[in-house]
Amino acid sequence: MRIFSEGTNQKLFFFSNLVISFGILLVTVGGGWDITNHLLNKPEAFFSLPHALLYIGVAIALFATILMFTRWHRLPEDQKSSYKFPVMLGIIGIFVLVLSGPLDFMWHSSFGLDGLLSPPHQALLSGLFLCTVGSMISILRYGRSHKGKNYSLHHFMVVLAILPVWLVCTGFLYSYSLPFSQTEYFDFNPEIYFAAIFATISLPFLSSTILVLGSKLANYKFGILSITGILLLIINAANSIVPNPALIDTIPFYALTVIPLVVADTILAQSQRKAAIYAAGCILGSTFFFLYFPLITHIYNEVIFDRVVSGSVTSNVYFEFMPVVFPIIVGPAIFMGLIGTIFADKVLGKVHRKN
Amino acid sequence: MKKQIISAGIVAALVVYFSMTLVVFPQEFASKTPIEPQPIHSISLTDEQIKLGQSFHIAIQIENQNDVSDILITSVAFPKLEQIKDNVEIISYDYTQSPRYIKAEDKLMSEYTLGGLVLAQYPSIEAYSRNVPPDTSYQMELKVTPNDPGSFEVYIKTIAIPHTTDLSHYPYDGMLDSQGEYVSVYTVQVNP
Repeated sequence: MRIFSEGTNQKLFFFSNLVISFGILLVTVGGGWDITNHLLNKPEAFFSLPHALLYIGVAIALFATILMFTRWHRLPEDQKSSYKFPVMLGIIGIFVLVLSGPLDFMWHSSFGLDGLLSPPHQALLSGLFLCTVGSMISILRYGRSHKGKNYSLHHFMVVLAILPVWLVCTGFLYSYSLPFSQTEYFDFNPEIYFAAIFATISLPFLSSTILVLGSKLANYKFGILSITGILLLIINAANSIVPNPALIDTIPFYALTVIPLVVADTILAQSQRKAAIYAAGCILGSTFFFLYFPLITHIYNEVIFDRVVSGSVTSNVYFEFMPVVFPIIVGPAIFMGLIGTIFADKVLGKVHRKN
Repeated sequence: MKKQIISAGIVAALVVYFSMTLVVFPQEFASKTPIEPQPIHSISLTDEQIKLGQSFHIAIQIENQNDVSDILITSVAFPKLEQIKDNVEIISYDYTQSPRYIKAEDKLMSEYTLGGLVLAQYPSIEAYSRNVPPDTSYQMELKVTPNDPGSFEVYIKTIAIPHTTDLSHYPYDGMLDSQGEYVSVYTVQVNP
């Protein structure tokens, strides 16, 4: 029995993918808030507000995935095959994601507080990654015909499609670089030099890849890169800066990171020559040290000072090691930003493949 | 012409950005006075002498003064005990976090977080609260039952994190414990 027309069915499929992305966005915001909550308050119970937000996000993503799957089944055959790969990613992802909830609870019950890098958290991040990449591909394939000169809603949908991917990937990279994984039972903390080198290579690569990809997907329209970056700044500030009263003073400093975002966006909007794209990538790479404040403080502190970085001294430590750390990392960061632009091109090709 | 103006704007924006983030803001934050939480504690023991098999109580009251403390830790150590779970009972406790039982050989921070990790020489209880505003008090009462006759010592200290000055711990002087930190020493004579 056909309840919806073909067009409505297609729109519902698109809408369900947007809702999946939104759900995953909530999960990542809850996850980021949870990290700060652990740093400042060290909650001892599983049930907390950040966990509640996180699991509301999972529930939204679950229901949206069911809707997405049912609508996908009713798409015409040619479209069905075009969306098969992202739909499968989404199904596997939501399965892993839903399983990671009870696994996390069991881990808490058996071993108490778990660290950032733990089996349940890796399962959660893997599920999130598959779900968000699946919905991103579907959203972008749905909107690929919109290549007109004017701005359309689909250009802005690019932001919702790639922002959760960025946040989930950041979560993965943080789990292998932040020293937050030592608990009473396990010490999964990464080796400090590995962590610092890993962060220096991966974080600028990620931010450059995501932002340049966003710009390319929006046909280099000015604003998309800036909006994506500014949303990340807002989420990060709301999660990691605002809850810590000692960091409120750093908001103007953090807000300045809008400048390189707008600069890179302007460069890409003005010229799509290779040199211009590389320049934008280099600028984006060089600013990762500011973009990932304040959590990045904990990574380099381990190598430079090895101090106890409690909430109220985070900014002191960060600004104290900045003159030492920044000159060392800026070269690799610029290079990885450039590599990120090349990788963004490869991802673009995969996203726009037929299946 | 338009391209040249945009290029100049880009260069100017980047110069302003990196000057602000690498020079102006770090200088501004470096000139700020670091916070200085100042904890104090007052201790009372119910007995100076007991008979073997009897217990005595320790009442601990701590207060954070001056500035907010991210973490406030009170450590109560028992150098004459090999383990404490059967000998020490927490009667009351209002710190915000669950107490930690430290066993001998556990790894501990030393010299007020500056001395690296050392192995605990004897068991202790660490009571702690997080995000403690100034003029906030906590209390803990312990019931202690020594195993052997003789002089039974208890080491008590309170430390604020961030530990920024010599006033960020209490007591300020006296005996140094195995972590290189000052402790208040209390003695109860246990008679056979």
